[in-house]
Parts: sequence; C-alpha cells; structure tokens
Amino acid sequence: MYDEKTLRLIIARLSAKSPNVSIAIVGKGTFNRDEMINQVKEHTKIGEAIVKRELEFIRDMPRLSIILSEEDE
Amino acid sequence: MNKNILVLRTAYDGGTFYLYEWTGVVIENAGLKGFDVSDLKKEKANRKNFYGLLKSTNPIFVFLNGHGDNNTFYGHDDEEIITTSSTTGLKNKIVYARACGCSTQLGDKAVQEGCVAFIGYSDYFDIPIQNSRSATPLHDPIAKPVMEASNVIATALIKGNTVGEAVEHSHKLVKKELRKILFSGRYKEDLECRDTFEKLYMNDKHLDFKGDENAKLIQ
Repeated sequence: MYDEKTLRLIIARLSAKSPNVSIAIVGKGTFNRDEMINQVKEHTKIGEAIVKRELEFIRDMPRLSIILSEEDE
Repeated sequence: MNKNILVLRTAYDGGTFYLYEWTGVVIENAGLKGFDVSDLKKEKANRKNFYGLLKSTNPIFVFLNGHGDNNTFYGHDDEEIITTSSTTGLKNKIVYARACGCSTQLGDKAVQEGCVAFIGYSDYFDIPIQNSRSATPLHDPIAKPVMEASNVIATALIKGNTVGEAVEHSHKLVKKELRKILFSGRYKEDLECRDTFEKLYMNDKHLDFKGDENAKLIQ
C-alpha cells in the first residue's frame, strides 16, 4: 500500500523511539519499538496501521503547532 | 432518580488491561457520587450479561471499554456486544465507548435509534505503555496523561457536566498536557515522553460525540 520511500521514512522514525515504551493498539496487541519496525518491514496489517498513524502525525504537525499557539478561550 | 450506570471492561491483552485498571478509578468516583454501578468485567463482559443488565437496571449511562471498530463494540475475547443492527438497547442512554472507531457508524446508528448521546473515537485509540510498568497501569507515567484525558469524560459526566462539557474538559486537559510536555523541553529530551505526546494528540483528534450535547446524567 505504501511506497518504499515512505516505509523507509517511517522505519527511521520508529527507530528513533524509545526501546522502553510499547504502544497498545487496543484489541490488536501491544508492540514495542522493534516489533513495530518488524511489522512495517513485513507489510502486515498491523504494520500498515502503524504507518498510517505515523504519517497522520507527521502531516498534522503544522495543525498541531497552530492549536498549541492559540489562546485559550 | 435513576442513578444506575452500566460499565463493561475487558482485560484480555495489554491495552484492554490498561482500560480495565483505569476504569476502576471512574467506578470509584461514581460510587462516591451515589451512583449504582453494575460492573461487567473480564470474562463477565459478554453479550448475555450485557443485555441482561441493560434490561434489568435500565442505566442512564453506559461506559464501554474494549476493542471496537466503526460498526461494532467487542467484549471479552472479541465477542460482538453491540453492532449497528443491535443499537436499540441504547435508547434513552448516554454512552461513552472508549474503544477504536465506535463513534462513526455505530454512534450514528445508536443516536438514530434513540440513544441520547454517543461519545467515542472516530478512529483508533492507542495507549503508550512504559514496559517496566506494564503490570501496574495506574503507576505508568507514560500512559497516565493519556488515560486521565479519556477518564475525565466519564468523571465529568458523573459530576453533572453535559456531554459537550465533558468532551471539552478532555480537549482542554490534552491541550494543557501537550503544552506542558512541549514547552518544558521534555519532547526534545525525553524519548519516552514523545509517545505520550503523540498519542495524547492523536486520540484527542479522534474524540467525537453524536447526539445531544446538552444531555447530562444529573438533571
């Protein structure tokens, strides 16, 4: 589903994460950093879900910076 | 006045175990506020028990914790509990589904069929877990802000806030935590903290509700 360039970017991003933290994808399992990288490399459904999340966060960074700089009501 | 609450909480993997433990905090608060809580937990979180208690206790608030998708909420061992063809039981109730995806088709259908308000997540709900704390979720500093931001919705309802206010409380808490992490420099320096930051933001982005924003448990 995702091209190789995107996958390399996501794997690099995952590699920079802490090895001491896992992510629970509720109902689908809990994955530590290396397991997430393997899922992405093996093109599994979980791997696709992980790539989707990472890309969404990257794409949302400009939106996030606007939200955090807004004055509270 | 009806003060019955029905809670369903599964605990069959790492993520659901965190939901299970953190839901305990909400149940404690509900008890202190005088609510009568029916607690369907672990293997008791099945379809038969759920519909039995839904009928016998007629709760005003249904708090669901487990695995979900756009069309279905699942109980213990992924048994289908509520699907888009079985939402009539949620009529006249406020529902909060702390599960992936349920606020979309399932939430829409529930409200069409008379559910007062359906709070949930339009996409995934993820939990960052510090590996060394995975057996003690309430003491996990990485998960804590994420779990508190989702717990506050249920506790705000219990305190008498409207659905709209409860969701807004969560948004505000997330924004406060994001700012705290970012402006303290922790996002840059603390790798573990980055997962908290990212999951706080992403879960909050997908938080949504359908139905009456002015509905509340205490009239």
